[in-house]
Amino acid sequence: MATNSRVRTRRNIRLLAIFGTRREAGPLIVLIALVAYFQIDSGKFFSSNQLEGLATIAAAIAIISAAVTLLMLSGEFDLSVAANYGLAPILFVIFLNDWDLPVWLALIVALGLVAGIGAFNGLITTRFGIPSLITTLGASFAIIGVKNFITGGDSLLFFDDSAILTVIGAKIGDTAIIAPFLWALGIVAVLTYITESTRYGNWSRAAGGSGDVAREMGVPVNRVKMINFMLSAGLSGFAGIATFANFRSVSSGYGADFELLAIVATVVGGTSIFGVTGSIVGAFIGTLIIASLRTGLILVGAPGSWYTSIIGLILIVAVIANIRIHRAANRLLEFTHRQEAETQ
Amino acid sequence: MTSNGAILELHDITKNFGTTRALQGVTLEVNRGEVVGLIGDNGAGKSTIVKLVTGYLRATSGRIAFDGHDIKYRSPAQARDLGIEAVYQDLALVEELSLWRNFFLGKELRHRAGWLPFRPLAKKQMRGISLDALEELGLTRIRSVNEPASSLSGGEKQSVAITRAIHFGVRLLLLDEPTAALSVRETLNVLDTIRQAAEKGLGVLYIDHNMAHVQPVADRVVVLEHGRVASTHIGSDVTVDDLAALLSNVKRERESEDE
Repeated sequence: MATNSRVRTRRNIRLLAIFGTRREAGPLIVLIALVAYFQIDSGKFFSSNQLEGLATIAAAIAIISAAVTLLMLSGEFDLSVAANYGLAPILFVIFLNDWDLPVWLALIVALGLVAGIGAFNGLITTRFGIPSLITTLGASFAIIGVKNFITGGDSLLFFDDSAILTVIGAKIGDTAIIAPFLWALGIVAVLTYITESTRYGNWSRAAGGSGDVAREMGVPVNRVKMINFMLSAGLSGFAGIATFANFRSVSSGYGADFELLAIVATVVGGTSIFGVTGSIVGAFIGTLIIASLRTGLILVGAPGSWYTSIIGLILIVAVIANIRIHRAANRLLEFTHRQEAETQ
Repeated sequence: MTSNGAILELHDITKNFGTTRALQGVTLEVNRGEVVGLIGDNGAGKSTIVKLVTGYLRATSGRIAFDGHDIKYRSPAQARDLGIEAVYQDLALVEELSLWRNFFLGKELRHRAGWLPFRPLAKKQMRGISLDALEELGLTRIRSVNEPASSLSGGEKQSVAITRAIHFGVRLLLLDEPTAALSVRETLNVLDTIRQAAEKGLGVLYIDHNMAHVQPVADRVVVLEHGRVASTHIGSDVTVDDLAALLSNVKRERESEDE
């Protein structure tokens, strides 16, 4: 009996260690702790109103950070996601209102143009061999200028209730569920599948780890990075249009800090800024942490401006905690592995 | 020379970079199951030969035949498709990528799932195959093939890269100083893996300037000097000291030429 319980304990320790080696372990613990605190303190965290607010904030960041994570795994950054997030709905409304394009065509052209910016980012970065931090920072400024020029600083409104806009952005019945959040879940699921379980995902990680080794093994490194840049830009644009379809208005400054929030979500979720390691599920958990802080801090009566500061602290603490947990779990796993080898 | 048994033949290869003559009329061959050591001082043209054979450079004149057929290189991909693979000292594996993902990088096994636009990886199968290959290599120390390549030592990475090449049916292996940064024990392990590759029928062109590493595994040793083949020796007939003497002779000649 005694040996039986020892075996069980050993197996539990092993499972704990395996959980700890997952990059999502740290952020998941943080998320659960935050949500539990907000719920216990206010009793209203899970109310329909709160959840809708949370879903609205989370949807856009989740979509952007999913794409940013895949790009980051392949060793590149995109600081122009917020600019693209804002640009796509502006283009979309202009094509609808001023050019009288049908909704589906306006959507495709707007997303196509934004994906084109991603292609530009990719082309400049891979062909000229300059850091994508620089390329996309430059692109970001260029886009912001164009946006301000188009809108003249005004908000653009749109009231037409076409079927496509409903599918992209509407609230579903009387529930707290909004369409953009469902899109976010779908995109997270699809990109997770691509990252974890396809050849393309493997190639992306390898391109991020060592472009030279990957090239030597026949991986089309530049093409992979290019596609990831286009996904990052295109999906940011889609997130922008989804938010617009939900709010029905857009101004040139909307979502201005989203590139940083997307990177925060990605890094808090355990993805390395040096590429290769990390996951889109982790970025999604990071997104939920950010969104929970946003709604939860207000609930517990903290001044609104704390949110920004706490996000900053969470970023730093999360990265340190991730490294520590990962290392400790690895050591624990090594220990159980050795013990098992001895008993055999 | 006939193509009988030869997997790689270089015929009278010349390569000029502007006015610099990197290779002048180099002729050599590598047979199936044979390890050919290519030694020479820095600048003798060793790396140029690797780049020509892997398709990164084009020869100024002369011809390269693989398995008896002349190759007209268009790209490095073509060399890879033919079954030519180079393993470089620092470019063997992607450090943070797991061992099984590294093992199958660029040659991933996938399930046939018709309705999915991206066919899913056959992970279980790839893990199994890479585990078997690593165990055969004697790498039983690792916990699992999910561990990153960075958990291996330098020599183990080289050995994994060579084992991977054997597994995927590479027919000609080019090794560019694979043991340069390794300890003695690690070097012996890598040399052992190189021998295994030859026993499985691969042709191996082993480039190094360390005679002590080349001599024990090479069936033949080719000494390269100023872009020319200075001499060729049967591996078992020549000692490390002989080779060292040859190289230092080469050096002395060059110095006297310079004077």
